[in-house]
Amino acid sequence: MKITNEIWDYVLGKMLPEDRHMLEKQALDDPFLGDALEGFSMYQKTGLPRRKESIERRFASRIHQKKRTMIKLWPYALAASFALLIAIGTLIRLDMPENQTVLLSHEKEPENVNEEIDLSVESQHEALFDQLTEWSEASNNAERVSRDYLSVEATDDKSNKTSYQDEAMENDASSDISALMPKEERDIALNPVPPSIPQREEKGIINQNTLEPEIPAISRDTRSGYVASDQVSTLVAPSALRTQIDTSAGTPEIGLDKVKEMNVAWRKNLSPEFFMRGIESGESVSVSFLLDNQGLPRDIMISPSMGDYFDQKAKEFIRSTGRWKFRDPERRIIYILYY
Amino acid sequence: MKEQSLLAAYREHGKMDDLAALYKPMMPLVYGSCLKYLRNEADAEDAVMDIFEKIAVKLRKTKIDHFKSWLFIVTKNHCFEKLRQQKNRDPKDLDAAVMYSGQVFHPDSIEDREEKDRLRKCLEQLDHVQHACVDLFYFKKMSYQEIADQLSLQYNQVRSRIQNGRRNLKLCMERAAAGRKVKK
Repeated sequence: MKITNEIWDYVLGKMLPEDRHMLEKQALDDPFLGDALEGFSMYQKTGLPRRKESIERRFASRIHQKKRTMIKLWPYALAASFALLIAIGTLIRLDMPENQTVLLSHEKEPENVNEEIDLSVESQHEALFDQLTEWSEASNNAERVSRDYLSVEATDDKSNKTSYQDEAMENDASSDISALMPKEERDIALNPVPPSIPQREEKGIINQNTLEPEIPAISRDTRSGYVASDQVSTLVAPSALRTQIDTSAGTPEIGLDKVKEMNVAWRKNLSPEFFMRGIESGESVSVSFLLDNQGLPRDIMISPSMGDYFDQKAKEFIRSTGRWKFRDPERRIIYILYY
Repeated sequence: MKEQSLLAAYREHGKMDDLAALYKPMMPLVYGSCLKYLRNEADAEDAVMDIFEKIAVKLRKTKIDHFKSWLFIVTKNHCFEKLRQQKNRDPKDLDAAVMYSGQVFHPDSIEDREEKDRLRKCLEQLDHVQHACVDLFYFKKMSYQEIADQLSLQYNQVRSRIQNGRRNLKLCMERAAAGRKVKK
């Protein structure tokens, strides 16, 4: 404190000449003091008392402010944080329907959706290769079924069928797997995915993030013609049209395999003309529905509409799937895409 | 409480009282130095508070042996940082201003007879004003202001003449000592 008073006395001219000399001499060896005295010498002495008072007042205020903040406020802040957390938790719980809570509490891993997940690189490559092979086989089967339908309903229009197959071969001529197949099968396998799919994606009709199968989580069942990922199942049979079921929001209580069988069944009863119209037009049909608090489908929407008959059958099929388990309570919409 | 005890106590407990006891005596030094570098009274006053906040954080994490020297460095760095932000001064000028006060040589502290002779000769080699300022300051024990009044100079001119004179004396005496060794 001595040096503080000395400096202020010096700059305010309250110091004896001998003491001034001693302080100045001290400043020659003390760069901090030297700088300070030089700084003070650059300004008028008249304003210094006011500055000194202002600095000391601000400093005292700062010290007391820190004390208040550290001693008095932190318990309140802590208590407020806890209260906020409890309030948020209560709101979330109140917002959740009772039956939904029950469902969630008893929810098990989906039985058939995620049969096998292997994230190793080798497995991913193997899965991709198998998937391509499987698509080829499935398309082969699908084409045979379509031919059967066509032989009954569209025998007078063989030129159209040939035209479609030629176009498919041109669009997908780079398939490696097709090179290993007999020519007859290759013609069919060259088009495992209808060529108009990318065009539909550009239009933004479907949400690719939720509907497209992801490679790392692929599992397969070659007998049924399904390609299933973690949250999306794809059906490639028994028509040239394919089905994707987005199960990211929920899974059917009767099991996904059962729904797949039902899906095949209701579509078999439809007119094959519908399937051909779907293939040739390149349009996809999205069937979406909301799960109510009971987990039952409602507000079923078919977009775009494929006619009253198809729409009615689709709604019947969706209702027949019964109750669904929530996978994600925040997302209650199930999508099924036919393309 | 001694400086080291206060530093240790603040580092351990973080009590503002300990830090205040350390910083308050230094505030005139910090303020005066900031006046020198920032050349603005309001900015210098703000800097005193900003530096306090800065050291309040740093002293919790860092062990400091010499608080005053460390605070001087923190103060200068803070001022230079402010000036860089303002870009209203040439850093080269700042370096020159900082450099001057780094010498430890006092003509009046020489005891050796040979050295006193060399000092007398070297004093004669200084220019008239430097000679007068050094003589009045070191041998007549006058303050800067008294010298300024007597020689009709500004306060800072006196300080500058004494600084330059002292540096020239030191160099001159070092050369003279080296020459004497060669002759021997």
